[in-house]
Amino acid sequence: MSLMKKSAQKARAQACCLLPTYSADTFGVCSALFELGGMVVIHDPSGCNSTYTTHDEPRWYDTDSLIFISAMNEYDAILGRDDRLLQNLIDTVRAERPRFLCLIPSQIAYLIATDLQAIARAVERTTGVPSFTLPTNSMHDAERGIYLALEEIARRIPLSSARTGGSRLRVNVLGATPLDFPLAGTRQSLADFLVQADATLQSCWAMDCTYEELCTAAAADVSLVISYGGLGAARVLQERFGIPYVIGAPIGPLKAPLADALHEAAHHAVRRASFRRSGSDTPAHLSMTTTITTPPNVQQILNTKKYPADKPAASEKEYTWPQSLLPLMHAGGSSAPNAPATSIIGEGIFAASLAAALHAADGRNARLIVPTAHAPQLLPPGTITCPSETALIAMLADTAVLLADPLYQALCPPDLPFLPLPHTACSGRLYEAQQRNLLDDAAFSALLKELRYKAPLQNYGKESP
Amino acid sequence: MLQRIQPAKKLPALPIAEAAYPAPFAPGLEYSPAARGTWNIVHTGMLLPESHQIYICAAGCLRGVVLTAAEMGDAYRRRFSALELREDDLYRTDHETFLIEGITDILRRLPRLPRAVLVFTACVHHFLGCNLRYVYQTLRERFPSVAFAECVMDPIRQTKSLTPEERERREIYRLLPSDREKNRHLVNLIGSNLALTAKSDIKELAHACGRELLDLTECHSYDDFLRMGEASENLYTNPFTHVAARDLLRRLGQDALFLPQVWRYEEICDALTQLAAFLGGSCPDLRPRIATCELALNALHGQIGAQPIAIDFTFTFLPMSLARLLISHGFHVTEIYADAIAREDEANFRWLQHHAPDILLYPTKHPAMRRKPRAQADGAPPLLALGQKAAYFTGTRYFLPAVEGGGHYGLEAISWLAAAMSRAALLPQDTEQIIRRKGWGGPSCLS
Repeated sequence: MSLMKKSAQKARAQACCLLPTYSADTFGVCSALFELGGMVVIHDPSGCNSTYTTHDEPRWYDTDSLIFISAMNEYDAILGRDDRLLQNLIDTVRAERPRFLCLIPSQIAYLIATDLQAIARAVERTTGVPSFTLPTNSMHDAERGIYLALEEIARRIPLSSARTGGSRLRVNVLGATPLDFPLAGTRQSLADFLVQADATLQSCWAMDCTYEELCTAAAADVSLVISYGGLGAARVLQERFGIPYVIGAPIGPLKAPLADALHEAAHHAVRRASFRRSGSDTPAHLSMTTTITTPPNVQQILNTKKYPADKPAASEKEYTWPQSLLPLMHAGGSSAPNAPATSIIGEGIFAASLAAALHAADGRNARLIVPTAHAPQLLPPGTITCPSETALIAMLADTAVLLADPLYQALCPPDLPFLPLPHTACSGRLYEAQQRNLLDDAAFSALLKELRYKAPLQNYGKESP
Repeated sequence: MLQRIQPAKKLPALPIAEAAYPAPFAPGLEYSPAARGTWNIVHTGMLLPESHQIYICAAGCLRGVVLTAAEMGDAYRRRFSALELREDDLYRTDHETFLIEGITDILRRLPRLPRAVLVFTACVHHFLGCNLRYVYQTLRERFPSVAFAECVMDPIRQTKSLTPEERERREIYRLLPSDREKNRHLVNLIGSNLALTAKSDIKELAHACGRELLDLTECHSYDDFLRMGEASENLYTNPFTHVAARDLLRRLGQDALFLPQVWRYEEICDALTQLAAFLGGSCPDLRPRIATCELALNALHGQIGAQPIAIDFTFTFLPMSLARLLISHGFHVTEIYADAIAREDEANFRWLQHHAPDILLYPTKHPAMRRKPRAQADGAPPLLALGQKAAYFTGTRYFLPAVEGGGHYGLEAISWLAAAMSRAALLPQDTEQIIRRKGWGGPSCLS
């Protein structure tokens, strides 16, 4: 096919009359690192960070964070004035003394191939403040940015023996940011779930938390990944400290099997660690009892271009749901021969967990539509990913009820029952007051009640409870 | 490995006497204060009736404009579309085809063709050397009934070339036809975001001179807008309109008069005298209106006395002029928030340097401003803020949330200001809720 024909096809697929634009990877990085005491600089023109601070960051008004923009101008870009950027970074790092510097490119810096690795290295050498860059370009969604940022932090935290919660299972929760979860109540709901599961919250990555708290993550027994953004950190914590991880958001009836899965994963990890300790060829960093006294070599990390910017961050990883959840995950998806009557649009892990919870509660099948970065292995069969606006409109025509961010309502047939699930990564602050914290049992019950009222199961005979 | 070291506590404020003109603060990394309730290019574009906006850019750029439109409500949101550029488009896409076919697809999917389409290409198209002339030529051939405005959202060029706001205004007014017969009775007010109040000095004087004032903010249809092509002169108060005014003079022969948003009697009288001459009339005796302003300001002074006042650049285009007016009347202006000083405000800035040297001049984008304490000292009299950024940085609950002068001009603006300051000083507000709402529903900083 000729380039022009391909370009025309792409244009039609990417044209949006009504479809919202999701938050970008650069903003995902900012959101994930917001509370950690580091400084994040987006290498972009003046004014471009106001989008993040205005729409995507509910903490911005009253919480201090070092999020800045480089204010790149045309001459800087054309004449390669990296020296100006470098000097501004050094001046600000010296004035603010952040815990670390994260320097991220947006599309123009990416387009002109600014060597931000070298600039970060120069800042680190000059100021002594750990500095790194991440492969963003403002042309991917926020999930990818969260993934990259939390993964990088996981590489940098020290081994810690700090224990919390006595003999209970200690759990790191990974992938919690205000872009995907309501700021109010999420951490408390997670903590409540873990208490019910005879466990305790070791660290929450990275909302309502501190960097010091994240530094205790190595002492956890298991990690719980509640969104795509936490997958990279989970993998690194497993590789560095032997901490296993379980994937799934604790929603309603999913809580019990998730609790079992957490205990089971921790139990198997301990057995594996004991087995490995008895052997002589166990890699030291996989041992649960090995103390890593030196942090990973920063230069090595920076020199390893693990994730080319044009590939999904998690594309080459093999992530799986816990065994105890698999029946629910598969049943909740659209593998049933009859077309599902319920559609859910949202972040992959959260939407799949919600679908499984609805299936467990009501036997309702749901079709997932995932418009953001995702791990393909984690999506139930029949899931639609990143559809074009016209494809989505066609899909919604045979849907009986839609659960999605309110901005999607504009695409729905007028009589389609619609349950709003405000999602900051989609509609920003617009529906902040109507957000539902579905990790809370009361909120999930209310959703279920509303769903039963708006789309009673008996009206959709193809779904069998 | 990672150590927390307490930051230094120095703020970048300068006594105005020590500030340099026109850029008092060195450029560097930029902070974005949480007070962003000003007009942007989406809001301005929505003023053009029966038009549609199409933005072509990466997700990070689209995000802001998409949500701006969404926050304006469903009717406005349906006048907005986007064409998202993805990473592989940088090297695997023919951008001219992408633009032409994407815009074509969007227009064909709309319930009906708009009269005008504001197309916003981006920095990326500039850097990729996209042939926009060919793109627009093809689009005009495909959609002969649609007027295309060639706007650009390219903040990377704003410090060295036109800002997106300047360019947008030029392109909107380029849609005015050149073949309309001139009507000496008509005069345009171009470039404003806010409609002037009926009693504003400009409107009253224009009417006194027997002229009908046409303003985009008051157009109800595209045909109303096209009628602006019949006017023989243009007036403007918004400094982002210089380029559009020059373009209209060259293209349509419409002479233009810039009326800066001045606040002092002498400046206002000069401006109105110029306006009267420009419109072929005579300036009325302004002394009774000045006396009314004096009474209002004296009454206000009697009410708020030495209460500290902070002013920011979003409240008015010329904050130095406003500060000089207030100081001349015995008010206690303590802080001004502005990253640069406009050319029209230089004389007032110099005056303040000599007559009120202790006023603190603050930047709004300097990284250290995030550390500014946003609360007043215990027992201090409550500060009255004019503008959302001043309110944000001082943490006061007493503030006037207007932008761009609130649609007021001249002596009428002073009377309005006195009344509004009097109310603002009496009635505390929920500053956070008002400032955070920007242009979306309910009370906001946009009007």
